[in-house]
Parts: sequence; C-alpha cells; structure tokens
Amino acid sequence: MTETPSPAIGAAIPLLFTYRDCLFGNGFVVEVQATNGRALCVHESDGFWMYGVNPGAMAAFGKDPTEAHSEFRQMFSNILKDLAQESSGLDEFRSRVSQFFSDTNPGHERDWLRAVDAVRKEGVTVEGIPKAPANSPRQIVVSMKKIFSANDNEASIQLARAA
Amino acid sequence: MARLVRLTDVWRMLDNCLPGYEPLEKPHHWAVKYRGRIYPKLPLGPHGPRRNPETFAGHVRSLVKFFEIPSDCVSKYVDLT
Repeated sequence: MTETPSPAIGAAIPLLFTYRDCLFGNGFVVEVQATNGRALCVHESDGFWMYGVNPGAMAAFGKDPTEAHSEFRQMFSNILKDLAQESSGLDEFRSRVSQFFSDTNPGHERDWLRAVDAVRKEGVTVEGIPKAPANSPRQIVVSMKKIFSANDNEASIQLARAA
Repeated sequence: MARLVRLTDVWRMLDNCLPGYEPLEKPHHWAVKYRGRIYPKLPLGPHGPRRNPETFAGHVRSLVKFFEIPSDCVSKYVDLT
C-alpha cells in the first residue's frame, strides 16, 4: 500500500479488508474467512497506525502504510491463533471469533465514517488500492477444514479503500 | 519507532477512568477485560516485561476508543498525543 503524495499527519484512510486464515485448534482444523472488515490507517506523529473498527480491539504500527497493514494482517492472524489456543473446541472458537470480529470500536468507527466522507468529497486516491462501497457487507465465517491443498499455505489478502 | 508509554501510567489511567476493568497477563502481552468485552493484545515494548515495562501509545489510543474512555480523564494520566 503506497500513497502519493505522503499524507499529512492526522490524515486518515478508511479501509476494507478481506483475509483468509487456515489454522489448527484443539481438536479441529478450520478456515476463517473475514470479509470486509473495517480499519483506519492514520498518519500519527510517530508513524502510521492501522486501527481496527471491526474488529475493534486491535491496532498495528508501521513506518509507512504498507508496513502498518502488514503488521495489522499479522496481528489479526496472531489473535485468531490465541483464540484457537484458548478454545476447548470448535463451537467455542467460532463464538469467540465472531465476538472478536463483530465488536465495533465506537471511537474509531466515528473517525472511519468521517474519513469515508472526506474520501467521497475530496476524491482521495491511494495508489494500488481499489475503491469499494463503504457499506459492503461484512461477515466472518469459520468452517471446518476437511480438504487440504497447497493453496492453503498462501496468504489471502484483499484491501480496498472505502468510499 | 512507535512512541512508548509506561504501563504503570496506563494502569493508573484505567484505575481512575475505567473502574472495574480487569488486567489479564499473557506470556508476551497484556489483555484488558471490561464488562464482558476484551481488548486482547496490549503488546509490551521492546524491552519486554522488565521493571517498569512499556507499551505503545497507538495501542492505548485504540483501547481508549474501544472502551469509550473519556479523553479528558485519559489525558490526566497518560499523554497519547
């Protein structure tokens, strides 16, 4: 993710992300497909922070937006792994993942909506990031993994600018 | 380098601004629980769990907005600007 020119401190980019993770839990192997999660990339005084809106309880830092997103992606996977570790079975894991993903960060949601307005009014463009409707449907699906392939090793990442 | 804040200041802020919260110690980070909601990863700074450990200002900003802690209370205990 790169932006030209570099945004001023305080500038915020509203993002939608879609990630797929395959992981092992206690007695289960699952695929987790998170679709249209919401995040806000903000140029703070110390660098770029990517704050979760849904899921709302996470953040990640980078020296540029690309690094912040990479760290955010890793943090998301690490939290799923922690939830798998702490869950005694599939039903508990599914419930915990659903709660984590749907728990909105109300403060960052307000900022995210303001940033969407700004993108619409000012036509902010971000190089390499396609535009997607801000109200794109959001969901997370946890499915039991029964068939495996080498493709499961590949990281699945889609990122869009909400507008 | 992301800006660091002292974890003791964060706990003091939560003691005063989010009474009833529960700090949960994990192997390499902290989590914060409040009224059934959890902020699962408050990472430690580069020096880890040494005496007077630190965490990152951005994670605390996110936690503050997640639990909707009043900013005028937060600013009395920790500088997140």
